[in-house]
Amino acid sequence: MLIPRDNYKTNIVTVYLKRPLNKDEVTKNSLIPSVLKSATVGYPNPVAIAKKLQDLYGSAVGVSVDKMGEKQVLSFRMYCVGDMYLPEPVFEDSLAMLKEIILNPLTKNDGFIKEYVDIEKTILEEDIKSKINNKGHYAVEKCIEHMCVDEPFSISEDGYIEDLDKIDEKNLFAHYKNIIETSPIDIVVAGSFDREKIIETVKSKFNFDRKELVKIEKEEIYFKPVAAYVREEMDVNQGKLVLGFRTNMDYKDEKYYNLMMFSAILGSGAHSKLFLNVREKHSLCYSIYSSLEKLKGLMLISAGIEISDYDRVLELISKELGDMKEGNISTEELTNSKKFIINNLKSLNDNLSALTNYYYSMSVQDSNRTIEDIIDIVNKVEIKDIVEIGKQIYLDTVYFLTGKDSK
Amino acid sequence: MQIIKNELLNEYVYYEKLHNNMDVFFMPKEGFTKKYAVMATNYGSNDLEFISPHTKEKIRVNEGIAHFLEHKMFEQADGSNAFDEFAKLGANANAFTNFNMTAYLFSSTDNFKEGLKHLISYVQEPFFTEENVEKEKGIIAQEIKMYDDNPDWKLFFNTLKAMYKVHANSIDIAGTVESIYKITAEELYSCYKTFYSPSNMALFVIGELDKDEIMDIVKSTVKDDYMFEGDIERIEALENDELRQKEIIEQLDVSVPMFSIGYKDKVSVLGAKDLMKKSIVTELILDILFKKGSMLYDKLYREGLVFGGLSCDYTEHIDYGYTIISGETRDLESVKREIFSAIENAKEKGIDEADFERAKKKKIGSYIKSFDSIEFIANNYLSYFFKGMDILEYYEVLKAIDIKSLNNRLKEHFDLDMSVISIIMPKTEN
Repeated sequence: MLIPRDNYKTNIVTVYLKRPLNKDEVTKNSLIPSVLKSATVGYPNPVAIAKKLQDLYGSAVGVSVDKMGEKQVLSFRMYCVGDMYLPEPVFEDSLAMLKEIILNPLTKNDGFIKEYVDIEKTILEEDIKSKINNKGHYAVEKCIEHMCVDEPFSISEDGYIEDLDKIDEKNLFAHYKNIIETSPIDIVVAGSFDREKIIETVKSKFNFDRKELVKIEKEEIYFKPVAAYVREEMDVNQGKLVLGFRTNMDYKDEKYYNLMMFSAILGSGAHSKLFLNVREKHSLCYSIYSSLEKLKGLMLISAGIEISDYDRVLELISKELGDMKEGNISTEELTNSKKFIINNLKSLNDNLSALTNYYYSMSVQDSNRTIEDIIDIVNKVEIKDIVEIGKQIYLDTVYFLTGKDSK
Repeated sequence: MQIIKNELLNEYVYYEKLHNNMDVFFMPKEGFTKKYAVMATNYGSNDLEFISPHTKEKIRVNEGIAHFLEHKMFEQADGSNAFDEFAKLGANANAFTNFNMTAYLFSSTDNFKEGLKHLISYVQEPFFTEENVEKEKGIIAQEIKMYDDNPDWKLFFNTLKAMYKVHANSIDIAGTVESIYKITAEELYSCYKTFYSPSNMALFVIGELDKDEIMDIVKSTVKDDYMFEGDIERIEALENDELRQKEIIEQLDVSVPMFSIGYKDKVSVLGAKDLMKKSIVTELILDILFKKGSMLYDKLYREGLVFGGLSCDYTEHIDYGYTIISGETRDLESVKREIFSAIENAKEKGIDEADFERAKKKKIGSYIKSFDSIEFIANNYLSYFFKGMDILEYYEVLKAIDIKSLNNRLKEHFDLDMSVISIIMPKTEN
């Protein structure tokens, strides 16, 4: 995929590998990108890689592991300064470095280098343990875990500490070979480049050996749950409340954008119902917002509140939600939220990373809607469409991260 | 109107000081969809005592007031909220307060000119009542508590507390729940009249826009209320080269011990002169000694001493400066020993020439890359401007830096006697 933008001083090339979100391989997948970043045939240790990148005027190769619906996505992203701004060109060499990291790992006896695998295992273990440090994220993840307990979506994309013991340099390398051959792979190039030449350049560098690709199931999204209430105690000053809903809305359906409007009016930004009522009118919180897990059809409302205000906040949230379901939405709320969404969509153009992610996520959703198409759809949404969507939204789980000994 | 150019980046900025002493900058940015404006006052959480330029009276205010004032600026006399108008225009608005600056900003793809008028107008129209001030206290108390549960924030502030005995740097930007409950509407007005005077403010507008049109809007919207000549006299507690304490340890619900080592700048190197050079030189040293590619980083990585690497940063301002090196470890004593010995070793042998050249190249690259973000350019331009610097001069200053300045700064700044450590330990169950 090419995203040509001549006004940028940077180029970004991203290689994505898509895997099913699966308990058997999730931890290995999570570990592989960081092991690959440690040593390659041409640059046999992390210092050699770092020095080469510095030499290329600070080109960077970043790796990440994300959850997109019930898929685990491994991405390798190279950023470099556009050649025209530098005394010497760096694009080709930076691209070669990206390839080197993905396709040319240093190996020994049909395995990765043991030292690096062991180090990265320790780092991953500490990363997983340190999730409690960020209470807001932790609460959202726990809410999802409770909601989707029997579904792949509850699996953490970071992997699990108990799997680490079984992983060694040999079975990890075997798994690496397998995912290179069987994962759907996408490459997105964004920035200012020669459009004629770029495809050839990328093709000649990235020749993946392809076998039969792994099958990735589509997410199950239809549920009519009875709400469950979960509490967890931790030593915190502020309670974190997360409400998880099933929206019963398929992301492929054009009506998804009615849901997007529903969530925006309810809880996106300073003009939303939750912000204006729970925060501004009742002074009960600083942060409160609603968001969507598009591919899984979930809507989440999160707020940081005084522990003793739990009942009041819950009551106010359900009042605002009830209001929306009953059609208590003003034309002003409708147009403000439309403008808010459209402005955000248009602004994607000004951020190469965001633009890259957007195009990739559309490809994951098997959609060829452009930003302009979505703007058109959003523009057509009416209040009655939003009210209609409200009928299929069910509260699934209320999760509260609360202080110790508070009942 | 003045033009400031940067040939390397092929960027330029127009500048004008208006009749009311407000500084206005405009930067054309072709090809970008979004347009962005930030209006900022040279005023932050550190400004707790000052002499009013209007009454010449000496005023001491409650901690956290600059941030409180930022929240209250959104309140409008007609009972509405400044966000309402932005929402109608489809613009994205926000504000932030740090130690030295308070900024109001918005971006939009459409209706930018209306948004700009609104930005300038609402920041110039304070409306504080006892009632709306009371209402805000609950919201800000929750914001403070959110940060109280954030271990990184705690770690950082404890480092500042250890370094600074009397300087306001050691006080949380948002204040404390106790201090903000003492804030009154009257107190907000006296800060407003001093620091939100056009004579203490600047505006930066960036995007694919017409310069003359923008300047017309700015000039016809700004007011002259509370303008004065000269500078505000800020009364600062006199900080010397002593530390408050060498070490602060706190327990929180975290998985691994976290540490943060601070090096406080000596009084003798403070001031506005050569501030940019000092800052770049220090950052280059940090890059070479502590970041990926350095011997120390590699050792800590291989021995599993630090998870996720070291973060390090130098923060510069006219009246203070400090380096912070932080990370997570299960073996604090070894990490401390390794860091201190890497510094002593570098002092003795001097910085390696090849390392220096690479670090410089990397800095050039990251400087160029930063010009792809209009928000970054605008916010940083003003932040640098308030410190007496021009971000467009950065490249020239960087190019002129030699290895000798690094070696000198290394010996002078990384002085064990000027260092502190803040530690967050996991909670132990009894």
